[in-house]
Amino acid sequence: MLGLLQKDFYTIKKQAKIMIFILVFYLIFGIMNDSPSFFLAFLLIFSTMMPLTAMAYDERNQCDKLFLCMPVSRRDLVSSRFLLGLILTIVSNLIGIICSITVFKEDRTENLLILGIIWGLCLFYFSICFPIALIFGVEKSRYAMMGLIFIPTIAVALLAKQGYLNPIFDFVEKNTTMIEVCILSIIIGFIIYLISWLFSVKFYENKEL
Amino acid sequence: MNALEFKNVTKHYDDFTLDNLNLTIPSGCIVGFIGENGAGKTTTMKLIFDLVKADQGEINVFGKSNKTDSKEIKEHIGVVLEEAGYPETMNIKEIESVLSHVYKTWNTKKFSELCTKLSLPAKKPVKDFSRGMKMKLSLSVALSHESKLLVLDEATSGLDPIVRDELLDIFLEFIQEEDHTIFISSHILSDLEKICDYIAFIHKGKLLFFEEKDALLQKYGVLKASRAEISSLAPSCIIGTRENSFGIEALVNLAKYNGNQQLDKATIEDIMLYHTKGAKAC
Repeated sequence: MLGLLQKDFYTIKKQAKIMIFILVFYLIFGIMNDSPSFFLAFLLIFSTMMPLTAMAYDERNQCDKLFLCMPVSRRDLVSSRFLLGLILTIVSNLIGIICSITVFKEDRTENLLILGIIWGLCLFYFSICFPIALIFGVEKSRYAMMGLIFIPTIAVALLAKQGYLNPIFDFVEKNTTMIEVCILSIIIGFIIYLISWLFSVKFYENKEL
Repeated sequence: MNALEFKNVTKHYDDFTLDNLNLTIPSGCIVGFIGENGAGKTTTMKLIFDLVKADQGEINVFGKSNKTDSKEIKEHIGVVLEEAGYPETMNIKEIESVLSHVYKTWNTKKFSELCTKLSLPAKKPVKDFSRGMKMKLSLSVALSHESKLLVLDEATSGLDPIVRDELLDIFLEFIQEEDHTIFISSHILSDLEKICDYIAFIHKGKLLFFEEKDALLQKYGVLKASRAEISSLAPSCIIGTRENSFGIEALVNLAKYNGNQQLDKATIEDIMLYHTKGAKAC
């Protein structure tokens, strides 16, 4: 497992450097506008995308086939990607927390709660994307994965603009606190992550390579 | 002990069936696995690693099941696939570091020695390697843990004669240990003729024969004759024929040959070609 994780880190090393550069841009942008939302959102989205990027590289080079000829099980291979996703989102969260405390001093609590909500959403997003990529291949499912981000985002934005979501927002605002939404998001995110991992292992154990 | 055993292994695809494969490879020998494209060589090799699932039958490596003892078995199998499969962004140093965590029996010193011997650059990413270098890297990895069985799928294809010769020397060095075995598929039959002890020939998913190479080469001869001369021979001695502008060439089974014409020595390539393309055409 350690070897597989190390391989993925080496594989995404170059991509990660580009991502860090973009994140620094968003950080500066956020400081100038005193609005950390974009920075915090992209921080977690990038960390979710990284395991899928590693998977795309491996798919292109047929690495999985080679590693399965080594003392590596199919379960190890799938689990390493889920572990990588978890490690990267945790590291991103820590960076986000540090930035929220040190750089973005206003709305500190709100920023931390937003970070938690985004974490849950990212785990959910990865949980959906990973099995799709496993079944159809990363390249083939790239558009489906992008659609999974943009279609709901645009749909929610449009519906919210037209006021259709106001009853839901009012209900949430009256009946829940932000901290409850944050905790719920993380718990649901983790449960779906676990289900996705179990499904992915089961699927991959029967996949013909 | 047998290095590799296929017992009644069958694998169905829509357009191809690997049909009831029975093959036992003893330890300490080099087995060449030959057959045309799509005959089932790669499927057979994938089955060893359970990359594809057999519909029936069992596969044992070193006497252990390739399903239940998979990790333990793979610790002692070195593999070279047609496509190297190493992450292209990584260099040899990084690959070494990764594999030292993958194999319990990994030998860093041996890997470094092999890389130096084969002139592999430590810091160049794999994507900048030539095909020959990628094959050398795969082979270096295959030999740097306690491999007792090398499974080589088209390892020498697409390489120049000098690199091929280097690799063949390494195979011969590996086989010096009496419990070491090589199972190699290649379209370059002259390479197999140089190094193999046994030849396994698969055609349209069926194993046509598995014989000692020397016995195989002594079993057949190539007859160049006219159609009338060929027709006068006992049909059972003719394996296959091919017609060209100078007459007819036939692969004949020497044990059943009843003619008196001079025969040429048959090569592995002749034996494969006549068994497939020219089988009983005349």
